[in-house]
Amino acid sequence: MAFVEQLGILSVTPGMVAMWAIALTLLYLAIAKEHEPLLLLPIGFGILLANLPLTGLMTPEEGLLWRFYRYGVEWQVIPPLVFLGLGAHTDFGPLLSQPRLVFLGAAAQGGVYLTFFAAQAFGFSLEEAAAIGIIGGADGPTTIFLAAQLAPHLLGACAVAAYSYMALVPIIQPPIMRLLTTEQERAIRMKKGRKVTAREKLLFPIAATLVIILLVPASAPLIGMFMLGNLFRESKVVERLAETARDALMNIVTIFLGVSVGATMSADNFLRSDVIFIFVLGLVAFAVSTACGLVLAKLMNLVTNDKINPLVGAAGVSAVPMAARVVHKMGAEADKKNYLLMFAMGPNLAGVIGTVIAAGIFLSMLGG
Amino acid sequence: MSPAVNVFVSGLAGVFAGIGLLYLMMKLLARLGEKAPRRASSAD
Repeated sequence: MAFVEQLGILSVTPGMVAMWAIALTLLYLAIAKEHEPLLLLPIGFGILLANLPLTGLMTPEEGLLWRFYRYGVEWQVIPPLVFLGLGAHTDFGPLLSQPRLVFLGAAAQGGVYLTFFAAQAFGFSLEEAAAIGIIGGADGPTTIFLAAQLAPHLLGACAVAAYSYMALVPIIQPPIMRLLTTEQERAIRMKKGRKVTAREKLLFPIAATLVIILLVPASAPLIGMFMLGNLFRESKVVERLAETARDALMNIVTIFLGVSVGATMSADNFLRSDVIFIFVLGLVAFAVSTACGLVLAKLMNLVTNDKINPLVGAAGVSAVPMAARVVHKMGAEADKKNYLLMFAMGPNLAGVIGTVIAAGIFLSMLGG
Repeated sequence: MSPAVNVFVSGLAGVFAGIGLLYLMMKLLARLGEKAPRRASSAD
């Protein structure tokens, strides 16, 4: 009889079955549709594992997945390591060649703060509202980093919302871009930026680390690792480290990140009415961020002769490089010979930095 | 000022201040990055 009592199938609850359906949906999107498969696949499988009965995988101090989450995410180890890999991947040349485009990355944080304000007005605590607002930055690791510290019970919902909207950039952004720009504006051809020297690229990660961390110390884990990875790349003397950071290490931490986030999504945590609200507010945040970038680009055109194609403002949300690709595609629809990809990469990278600064400010003002 | 308004205003101001400093730093780097013109030696 003892064996029968230990059968998992007898302990299955309707909530668990509902979570299996969500897990299978994410696995389907990852495998069949290839939407953000590197994250949605391990997240989906993590959800499945965490919602199987009697496994003890998320039992505090004992469970395997609990340990992954505790020491990887809660202790702020994995998101900064993802940033190390991102830094080793990133070429800041497009941003350095057109520094003025950096402001578009700041404007796109407007959605983060407006949604923060809206969420707290709807009854979420300030910490929860910050975790929801940061979804608008469309930066997965930053969302996880912030939510794990300010609202761990919302981590799963915020992370899945962020990655879902990143995957849906080609669907969400174009209608907003069409609404806020004219055909003529979308066809604006931008002047090529100046050539960036290797010395500038080398000095950038060191100088940016000093400037940003001195202003917002709480952003240090993410910015520090981001710029270290970039210094690996630009120094040209530690190619082995750069390669490891962008390939092997990145892959390893992505596995642990995805599974850990998925494991936080138990039926008790996820099947709540406010989770639907989080998805709606996250979408609003993302849409407003896109709009803020577009509008600032149009405003900048009022005071400059060297016109900016307003579409590149939409790349101020992070979602690298998806948002930049969407900008390029939209520009090419208006003028086949308009090549906007490299111009859009500037605000795209500025958006990553802007979102990290926004997260650091939330942490310094609301963190314990 | 309510805590939410405080976070909202300080947050937006902080992001623009950070990005503004980054902009100034990039302008400075552009100057440093340019090759310094070679000085003509007395032998020239």
